[in-house]
Amino acid sequence: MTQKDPLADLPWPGATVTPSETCSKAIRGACTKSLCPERGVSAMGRALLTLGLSVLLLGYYTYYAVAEHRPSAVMRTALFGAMGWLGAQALLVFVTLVRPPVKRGSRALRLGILIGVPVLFVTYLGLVSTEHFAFAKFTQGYPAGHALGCGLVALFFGALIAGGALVAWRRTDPYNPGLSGAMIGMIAGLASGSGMSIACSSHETFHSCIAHGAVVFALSLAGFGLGRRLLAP
Amino acid sequence: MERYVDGNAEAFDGLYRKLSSTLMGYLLRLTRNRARAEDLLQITFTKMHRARASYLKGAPVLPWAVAIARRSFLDERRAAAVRTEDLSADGSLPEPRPEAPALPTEMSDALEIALQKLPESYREAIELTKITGLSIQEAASVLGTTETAVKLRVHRGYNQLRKELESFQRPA
Repeated sequence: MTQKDPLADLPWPGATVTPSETCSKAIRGACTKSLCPERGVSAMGRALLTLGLSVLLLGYYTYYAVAEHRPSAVMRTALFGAMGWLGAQALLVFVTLVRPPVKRGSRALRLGILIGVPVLFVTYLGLVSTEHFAFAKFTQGYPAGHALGCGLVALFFGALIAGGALVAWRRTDPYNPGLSGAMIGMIAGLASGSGMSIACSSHETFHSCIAHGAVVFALSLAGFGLGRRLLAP
Repeated sequence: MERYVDGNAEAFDGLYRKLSSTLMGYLLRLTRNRARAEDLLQITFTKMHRARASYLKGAPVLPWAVAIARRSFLDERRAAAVRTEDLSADGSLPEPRPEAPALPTEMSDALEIALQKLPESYREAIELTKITGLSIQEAASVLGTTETAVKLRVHRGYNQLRKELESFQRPA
């Protein structure tokens, strides 16, 4: 049984208005001038490129950790963790970017992911850390300087990944470019933050959560702003 | 759309014939100004032209085009809000703003005024589904929300619209 439209009897205004001839001529001229076939990269290609950048960064961090002779047991744990987060990144890319717009989930759901996943990531970093200082000690001297350095390095590499991914997904989302940009920023932040745990010598709670975790929030925010400019057609 | 992406200029003519009047109607409803609507129509088609390579093969074109038109309008409105004053063509006087008629004489006028009184989210949902002719699913993708949310907005908008129209019909 179909429901009757309660306002079907109203004189709704017409949906169509013909644009002026001048306007139509200008549009036709602009859109057909030296028109040539243009086939961009497929959504799957863009997804693989995004994940490829994350894998590349993970590889670099692992190489750095091996070259710096980080303890193998700690490094292995961090590497397993990073692989797990890589799986999460793949899931996020396929669910929130590759799928057609109507199947990507609502704005509320994506906002929930954008808040929930970084919180989960920082909680994970806190749980796997092996040392704990008092916060007062963390904010002074060497620990503070080290945290700042780690944070900047994570931000730098994360920004490179986010930048590459944003360019790969350029002009693909007229529906919610800000949220898609934030999602790309978050994915890049997860790659950089989890990779940093492999390369870094410190596994202290505050250091891990702040220096390695904050990059996810920072890049999500930056991705939101840049996404609105780059991802909208 | 796919033939246009493949570089067929004639396919663009077909696409333009199919989309332009619907997009123009939609933009005119948003701007309530023909010159601005035509400017935005040009911007929309230029953006579609630039982004044609990223068009998802097989996806419906109208919601994609409407989403681009809507975003162009929002960007233009945001930019206009930053400007301190609207100047006329000679750069001296503010342009007169169109005013809604105080007393509607016909049902269609009353409907137009009642629509303008609705909250933006309800009005957008009703205009996209009832006037532009998108399905609930397509309107949800354009508005970046769920189908349930669009149905709810349309339902609440209808109730409010009905109340507004009843107040117009009530004798003074």
